Amino acid sequence: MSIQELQEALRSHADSVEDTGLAGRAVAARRQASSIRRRRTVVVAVAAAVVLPLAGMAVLSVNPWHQSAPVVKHTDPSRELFVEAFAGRTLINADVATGRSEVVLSSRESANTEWRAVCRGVGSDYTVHLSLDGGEPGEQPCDMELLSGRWIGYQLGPEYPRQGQHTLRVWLTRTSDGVNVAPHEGQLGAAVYRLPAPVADVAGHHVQELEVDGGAEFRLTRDEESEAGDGSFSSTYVAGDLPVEVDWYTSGAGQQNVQVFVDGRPETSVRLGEGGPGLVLAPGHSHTVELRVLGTAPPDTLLGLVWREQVP
Amino acid sequence: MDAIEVTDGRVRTGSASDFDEFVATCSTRLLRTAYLLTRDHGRAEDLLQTALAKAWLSWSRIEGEPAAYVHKTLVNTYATWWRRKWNDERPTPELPDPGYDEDRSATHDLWAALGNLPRGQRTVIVLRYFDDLSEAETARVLGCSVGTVKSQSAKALSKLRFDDALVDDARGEVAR
Repeated sequence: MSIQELQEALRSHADSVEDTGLAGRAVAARRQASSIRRRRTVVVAVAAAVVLPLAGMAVLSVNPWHQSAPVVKHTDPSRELFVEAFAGRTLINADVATGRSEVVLSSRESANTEWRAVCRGVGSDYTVHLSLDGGEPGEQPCDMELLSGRWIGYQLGPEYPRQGQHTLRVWLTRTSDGVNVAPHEGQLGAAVYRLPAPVADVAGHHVQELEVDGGAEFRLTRDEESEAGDGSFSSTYVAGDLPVEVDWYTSGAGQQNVQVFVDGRPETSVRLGEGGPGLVLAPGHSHTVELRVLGTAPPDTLLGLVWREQVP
Repeated sequence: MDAIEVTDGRVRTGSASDFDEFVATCSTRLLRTAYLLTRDHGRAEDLLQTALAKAWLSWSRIEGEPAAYVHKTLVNTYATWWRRKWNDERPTPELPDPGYDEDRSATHDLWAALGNLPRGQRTVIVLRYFDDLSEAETARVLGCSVGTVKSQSAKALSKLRFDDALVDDARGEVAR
């Protein structure tokens, strides 16, 4: 197949599509925009409520996700970027810088900790990178909030000593050319949270009872794992009235990719050994997720799926 | 109805008539990109309308050519589609006639091969070879590095060339 044939195939299929709903398209879009604007207002209210200090929550006995929770405004930028507590995590330490290209956070806390980075104010034209103790770095577009569910970071499980010495380095580059930059309007932050003990081990990964996605909490309801060496694994879950989240985990001595199919469509692929929170799926439907090793699965391959339901 | 925004002390207006004219001019082209991404006419309509709704929210603040802005919004909305699908962004109540032959599409081998690509790789292919964006422009739209675009594109092309459907088709050609 040549590039020209590919282009012709794309154009051939695209040309068969006409916008037959064009007449009311603009009006419908403006109507939908009104709905989005109302929803954004609600999201802002919830986000403001979760900056309550932990002690305050305990005394007031409030649910920080509840929209009517009282709002406490902080002037400390680390409090603006990192909430004190979410999904069972509690903040140990954080550092936030404005207009700098790098933040370095060190802590002696080790076992059951989660290390996160957040970048705000400059959008996806920039990329945030992080590396714990000089290890393999991760990166993501610089437009993800702490509780969005799309995050990268490091978790140190209960097998680590209680005390250690860890350093998280977070830095910012321009997405287009990879050059280190320090946009004056950009906030860059690093934080370490105390994790609860994991409630399950799936395909060699510790799994938490609660995860957060899109500002909502999701509680583990089912975890499953393949037999060792299986090249594929699938699971079906019937969602009730609230959305469900599915997480996928893999392990094995190999460099193979694992293709993730959601409801029959290829969604993404991960390297064998990787895993973590995946997707939020629609309520009121049955969903099937399949993990398929591309190539020969090593004998110690494990594939796992974790299902969660949104906490009302 | 006009959207009015105050930015940096300046007042800008974005008129509904401008927006209507933009939609009339660009809607079909954007819908075609959405269709190649989603491979489903109903989902493509849904995606386009969501992107246009978001564009209207920012209409008065869009500087320069709005087509590029809406195109980027559409692609990024597609990237997070599963997350957003359940959350109050629903298809239009009445979907129009697809206007194309489903069977013809379903049996087209290259089309089937494209459907087997992971979402990210398919997006790169559509942006590079249908929307005719350069690697740098594709990277800007996707918010990733040029290197990522290159690697995703290479992987996708490799898979397309060796996709079972295409290989079977090639074998059939030899047999015939």
